[in-house]
Amino acid sequence: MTDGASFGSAGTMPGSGAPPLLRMTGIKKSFPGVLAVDGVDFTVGVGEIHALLGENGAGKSTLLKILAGAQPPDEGRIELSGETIELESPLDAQARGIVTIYQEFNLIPTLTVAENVFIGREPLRWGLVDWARMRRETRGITERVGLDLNPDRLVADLSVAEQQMVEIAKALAVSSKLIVMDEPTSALAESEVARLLQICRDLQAQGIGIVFVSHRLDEVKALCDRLTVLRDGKLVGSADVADVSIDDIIKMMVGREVDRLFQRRATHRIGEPALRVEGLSAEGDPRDPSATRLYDVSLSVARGEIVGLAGLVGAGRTELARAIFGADPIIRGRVSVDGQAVDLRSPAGAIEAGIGLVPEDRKQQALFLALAVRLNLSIAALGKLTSRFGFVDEQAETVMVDEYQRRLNIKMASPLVEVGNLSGGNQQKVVLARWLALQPKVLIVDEPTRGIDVAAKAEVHQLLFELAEAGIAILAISSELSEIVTLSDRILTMREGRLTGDVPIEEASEERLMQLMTMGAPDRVRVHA
Amino acid sequence: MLEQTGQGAPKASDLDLFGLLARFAPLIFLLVLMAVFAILEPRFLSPLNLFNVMRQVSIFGLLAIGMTFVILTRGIDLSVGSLIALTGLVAAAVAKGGFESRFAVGTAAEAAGYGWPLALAAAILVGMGCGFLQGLAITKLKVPPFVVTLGGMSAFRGAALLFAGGGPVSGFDEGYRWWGQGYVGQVPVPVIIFAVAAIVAWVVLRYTRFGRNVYAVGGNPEAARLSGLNVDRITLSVYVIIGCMAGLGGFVLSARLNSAEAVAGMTYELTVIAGVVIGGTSLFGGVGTIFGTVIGTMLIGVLLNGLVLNNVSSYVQQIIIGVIIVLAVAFDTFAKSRRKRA
Amino acid sequence: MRHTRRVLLASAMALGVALPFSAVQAQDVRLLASVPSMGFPFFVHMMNEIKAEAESLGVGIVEADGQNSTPKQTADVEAAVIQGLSGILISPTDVNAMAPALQTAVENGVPVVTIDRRIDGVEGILAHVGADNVKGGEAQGQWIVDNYPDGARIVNLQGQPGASAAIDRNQGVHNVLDGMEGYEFIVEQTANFARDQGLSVTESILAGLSEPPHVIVAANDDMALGAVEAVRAQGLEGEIAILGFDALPEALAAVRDGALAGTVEQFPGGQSRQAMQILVEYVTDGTEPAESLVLLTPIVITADNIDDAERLGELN
Repeated sequence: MTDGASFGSAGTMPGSGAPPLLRMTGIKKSFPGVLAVDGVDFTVGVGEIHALLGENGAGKSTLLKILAGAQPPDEGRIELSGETIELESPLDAQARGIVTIYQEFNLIPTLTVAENVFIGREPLRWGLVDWARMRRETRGITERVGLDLNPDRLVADLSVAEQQMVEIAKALAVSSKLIVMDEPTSALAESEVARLLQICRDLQAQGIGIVFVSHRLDEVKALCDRLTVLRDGKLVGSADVADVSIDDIIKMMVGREVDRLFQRRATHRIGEPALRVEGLSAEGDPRDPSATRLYDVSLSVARGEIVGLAGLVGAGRTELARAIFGADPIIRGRVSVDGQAVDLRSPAGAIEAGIGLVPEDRKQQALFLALAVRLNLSIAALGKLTSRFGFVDEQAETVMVDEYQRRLNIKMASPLVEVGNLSGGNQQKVVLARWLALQPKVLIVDEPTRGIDVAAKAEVHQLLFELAEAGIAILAISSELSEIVTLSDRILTMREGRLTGDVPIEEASEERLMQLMTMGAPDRVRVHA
Repeated sequence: MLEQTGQGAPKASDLDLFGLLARFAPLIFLLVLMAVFAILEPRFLSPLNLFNVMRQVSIFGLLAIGMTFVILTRGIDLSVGSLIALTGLVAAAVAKGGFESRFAVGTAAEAAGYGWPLALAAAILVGMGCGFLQGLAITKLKVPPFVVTLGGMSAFRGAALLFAGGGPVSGFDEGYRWWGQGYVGQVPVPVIIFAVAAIVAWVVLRYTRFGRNVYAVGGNPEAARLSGLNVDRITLSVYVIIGCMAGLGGFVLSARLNSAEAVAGMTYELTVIAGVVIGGTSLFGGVGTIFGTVIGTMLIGVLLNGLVLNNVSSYVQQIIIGVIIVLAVAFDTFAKSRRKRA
Repeated sequence: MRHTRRVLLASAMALGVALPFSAVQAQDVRLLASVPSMGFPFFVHMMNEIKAEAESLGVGIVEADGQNSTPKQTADVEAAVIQGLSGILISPTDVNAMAPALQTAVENGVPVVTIDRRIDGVEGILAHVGADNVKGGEAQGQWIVDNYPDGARIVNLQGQPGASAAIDRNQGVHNVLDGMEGYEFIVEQTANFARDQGLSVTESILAGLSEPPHVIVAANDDMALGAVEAVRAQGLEGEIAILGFDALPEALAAVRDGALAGTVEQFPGGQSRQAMQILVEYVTDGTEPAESLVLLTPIVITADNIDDAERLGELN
């Protein structure tokens, strides 16, 4: 162990003679090519709120899946109240009193609160659903933790916070001993967070153990008794929350060397501002109830500059990218490229102005999976390849596709294979090539390396450097701080739909950024020009 | 190593058996079916009968071409059967100058109207207009295509009944009838119309930007929007296209029957959709070809004709048709899944 | 549920919305006239005849279009009972499915006369006026025997499988010709009462025969007119006699011009008028009809007796 040793190793609660509620020892789990969890110990006491922390890829999700019974560990032991158990399935875990509440809720929106709480276990009388009892018991459960939920309301009509309460009520209905909450506050507003924390304390008072996964360190500090930090699949250490500062926690989480593959570019020239965003406010995607509102965002990106946009889940990064691209309606504000105002009524207007967007979700938002690579690559640039009568100049198209295949090193059997058959990295290169073919002035990349392998990731980074070199203004979004730091010349941080920081790369440490992302005051930030 | 390939022709190993099977599954199924009918009744293969089959499917085929565009965008059009009745009546009324001489045969009344060119134009314009209205409801009011065209199915049928007062209009001049009954050499005119329409549609889908956009919108509407395509306009266009085909089809059908009536084209929409789907077009959008649609439509025509030719009882026919439609699509799905694995 | 409905209807009646039986002035009489579908010219004609007769008798009618839907026609009948109409003149969409609604009407004292299509399982129907589809088929068969005394090769275009008119008409043709020496049904296929299918099925049949048939007998005029186009396309006009059924104006035109050999006239207008008379007499005077079943004898209309056709006047 490295610097985590100072916090002491995992163990039972100090001064307690009884066995802890949960004790996981020596847990190992590997997937092809990755050791996801490597010998982790994790202990939660009765009535304890325990934070599980770590960066993306640290092994938290795998540990949670093991705990939820969704995946068996390769090695290690799990004890529940002193008894060694094996979790065979999520149902088994639930039957033993371990309930996991995921970020994506498992609720059926078309059913009522009571139906959701009792789904699959509806109380019966004469073989028919006993509605009166179902309502009564739902109300009893919700009142136990001070929730005020009408059992007859449709889940679809509830706010995100209320839906989460339904999930908690579901957990209580099966008389849980241990509730695992994965990023429970990421989608909640400030006042709702306070209410959730209060509910957690009520549960704690009833002797229920809680595993609390969060990126928001202020909440961890305010709520949790103990914390455990993972990094690269290994245990860094566990500690009483009272004994450590937020700075200590951040050090535990990020204290590692940046991978040698990911070198920053050396010298570069930065030109005139290309993209300028002024006072942008928006509601986010109207079809997505959990979209974050944007408040009065102003920024600029210069020619040849890569600006990183950092923030936690729900900070509004993707919403900002989509608003600039005209993908979602805006309330007010102005976007211009090279001084020309952009028509934000549709992506077509933004594209016309020279903006390209590599969206967050490649498969849902960018690719035509069942169609050929060629069509995927050329679709946005077809206007340039089309004759007066609407015919596509296939010869010119082939030349173009070949050029980008070579330039981006896209590996495929032929431009006519379905893009869905390519690897994630090559798919992402196709999406990038789609915009490069348009020779954009501004490129927004949202999670450009999500779900692609390390080598392809390095290639994508190199490509973004080259594009910046060629004078394109790039706005890069990533959940991985290390990636943001590697790519950017300057980093903007966001929190709850507002910009909270504008940090030149020379002054950017991951600690500083994490602070701005989790604690940063949502002030107006000067427009960097 | 793989990056070296991909230019020029696919490697020989790409042309594997399952690849071919997947690509030509509907055609293979059609040929097998034709072979079976030919064995049971040799006259099935006579040129007269084969032209009969082609002529019989040509109206379905025109609609199926339009339907291919619509289904490629993840849409559906249930109104084509009704629209073909309405447009046929419009053409007939224009050709006969109204409903005064609706049953007159072989008299001066045949020539009393405005002639077939105007009749054809009117039918197509009405068809496109109806398609445009449905497209507007789908894109602007955001009502699902199934519902909009279900409404259209009822409304256009009602309009046809109202327009003609329930009765048929028949007896056209020779120039009009030629479009449904005439020949060019050995080949019936409706077959030529169908073939020309299929070739035009194939070129549009394969070689124009609009065609690419149709595939893109059906393949992933969100990605299409984020690629800068005007999804609404493309969606609207495909309903205008199928309306145009229904107008042409209504005109040709009335010419062929030498009569137009409000009850024409009942349940055509289902036959047409079946043909398109048998031809390998996915109801989930983005996948399909005009070639497949032509084959799928012919398969239905061959089936109807072959069963009649073999004098199969009408009760049994319905069972056989149902089973074969499911089998044909199952065969196509199977072939495609094998290719994916291979 | 049926019981509840009956009670509801009964209480509506108890409110005194209708007074069956007591002499009523004709101008106070309002009747429901309901046909299966105004989408078919046959029923449009039927309705027109009903309207004309109602006018001449001086009674009022409420027109209802069944839209080929039993629920729709049921709703129309129920509404008529609630409205307190004096009687119901109906050609039911379905021989069985319309029974409950009509039974309710009869039980509530609303007299019912059926036209053309009968109703099964209802007690107390005042009368049925119709033509016998079996007899019409027999008329077609008899025409074939009369015109082809030495036998004939026959193609039979049947109606929609399962429809009672299709079954009865087919039955009639077979009644006459089955077992007779020299008469052979070489092909029997359905064309679903539709013209386009009449055409395509005939095309297919002709392609499959080495020698054309003598007669094509169709269960309605639409299919027969489709067959006319198919025969003409093969250049066989004049060689094959085509028989239709229903005597639609368009078919009469074809008979006049020689494209059709004949069609069967069932006098739908005559049926309608007679039914109307029976119902109005009963409602105004309480006169029970002499016969509760009135069947008009169908005849084959050819170029020779075309003046007997009811709808000849629609040809202008």
